[in-house]
Amino acid sequence: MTHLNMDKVVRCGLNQSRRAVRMLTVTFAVFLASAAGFAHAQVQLDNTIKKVETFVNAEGDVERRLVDANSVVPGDELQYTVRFTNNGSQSVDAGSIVITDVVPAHTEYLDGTAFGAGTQIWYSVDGEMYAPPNKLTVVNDGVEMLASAKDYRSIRWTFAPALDPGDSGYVSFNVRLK
Amino acid sequence: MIARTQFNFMRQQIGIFMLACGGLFGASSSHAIGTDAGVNISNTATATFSVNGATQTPVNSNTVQTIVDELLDVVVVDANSGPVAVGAGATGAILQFTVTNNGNGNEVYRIIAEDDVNEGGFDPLLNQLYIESNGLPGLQIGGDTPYVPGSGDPLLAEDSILTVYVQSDLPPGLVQGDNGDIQIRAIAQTILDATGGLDNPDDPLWPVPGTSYATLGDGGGTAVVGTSADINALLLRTQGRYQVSEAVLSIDKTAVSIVDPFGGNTIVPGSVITYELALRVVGSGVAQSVQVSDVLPAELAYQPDTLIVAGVAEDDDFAPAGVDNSGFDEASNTLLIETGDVAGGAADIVISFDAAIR
Repeated sequence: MTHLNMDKVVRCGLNQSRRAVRMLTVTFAVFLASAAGFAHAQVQLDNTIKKVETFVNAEGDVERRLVDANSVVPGDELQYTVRFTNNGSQSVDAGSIVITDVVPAHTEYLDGTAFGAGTQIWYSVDGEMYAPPNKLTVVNDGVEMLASAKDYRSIRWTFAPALDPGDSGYVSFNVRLK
Repeated sequence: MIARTQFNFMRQQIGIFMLACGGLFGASSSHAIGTDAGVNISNTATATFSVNGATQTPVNSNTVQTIVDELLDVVVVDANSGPVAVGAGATGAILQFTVTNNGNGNEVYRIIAEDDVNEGGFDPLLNQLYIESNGLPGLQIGGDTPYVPGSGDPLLAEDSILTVYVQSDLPPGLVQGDNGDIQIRAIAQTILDATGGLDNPDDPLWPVPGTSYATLGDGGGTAVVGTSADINALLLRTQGRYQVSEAVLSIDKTAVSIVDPFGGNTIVPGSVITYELALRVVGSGVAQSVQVSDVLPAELAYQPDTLIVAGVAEDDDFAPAGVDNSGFDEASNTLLIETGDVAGGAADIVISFDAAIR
């Protein structure tokens, strides 16, 4: 609806007097404001993938570095980083941002790699029930046992602070390509 | 000492047969070890949040996608379980190797044999390579496929295993204990294509692991050289060894007849298979205190009183102890046959027995 209104005003602005052009400017500004206020994507997520490469440095020590994941083969370690940004004009409630990411098919989560400053990190073995690692179980051959990192199918980060307009943070986790 | 070595060799032959026998009964010879080349690895994150206590519409991230490249990894293994004993002046002596495509794509491999790699030993005279193709254990000339590297190089599906036989003659003038080696290596067609035909890892231009070749991978993606090409731990190359022995034992095991419960010859539970083991000693010496043991797989039940050694029925027990050392040990599902000393060149000693499929 908003779009149709603007379209109408633009045509009007092209054909009418300077007053009408001023009207257009005002209307357009109102449109922008309403678009921002109306926006669903007050929190924006930007997902990136990198490959973790090990190399031997000049001192002969093995180091790790992130490189573009242009070429991946089984056995490679990959790192997903999701940056979350408040693009809106209002603060996002403390404790309300919950980011969920699925461990991709053909990969397995690498224990201890999930990271997120100011977040509580829970995991799931079925994509439905989330719990901390010491409370997450699987059933193998009828025996319930503590789930291992390889069992995790998805990860959930709950960001504790409020997120003010313009602020951002990130979460990340590593997997190995099977 | 000689007898012991040959006894071990004999056990190896039986072991090789049993491996093949296991295949017959459905044992898997390969398993998937890596995500296929060309698979798209995709990831999208989602977030829920609220503003002023009002839950907002959840948001998705952009979706990141990465296509799995082809990993070029091949492992060549000496399948002879140690040096293969051969008589001095032997002809047509066989070495056996396996070539396994440990990569994640289909790849053609060129299999190259070298017969002049043995430092301080003799050079076998390489006759012919064969590729296992008829499904029967061991080389059957006329059954398995003769192979010339560069012509009809085999396509190996990912995780598949190929058996390669090397047939050689031995040069004259050898004595007991002389060693002669054959080296086998498998070179990916992609590396041959990318390097203009480079087929020797000793070449200074040989690609290091991690080298990638755009568009040359299975399915048109990138191909990446795997760790099996690492010159410091070269898994794509190995050696097998002939060792000259004055008396060489061999055993050929064959299933000479199959009778199923319906009077036919299908392999089903209840079918009775008659096996024949032909024990042969070649060379100028005597194989001493020869004992044959044949461990039957769990799927096979020995049929009582069917053991025949060199045409003479042999009872199943081991009584009197220390005198009768041939029979069937039920606890280990194993046949034990003692033939004593066997001179090189003597007629084959044929052992037969029946076993039923459980």
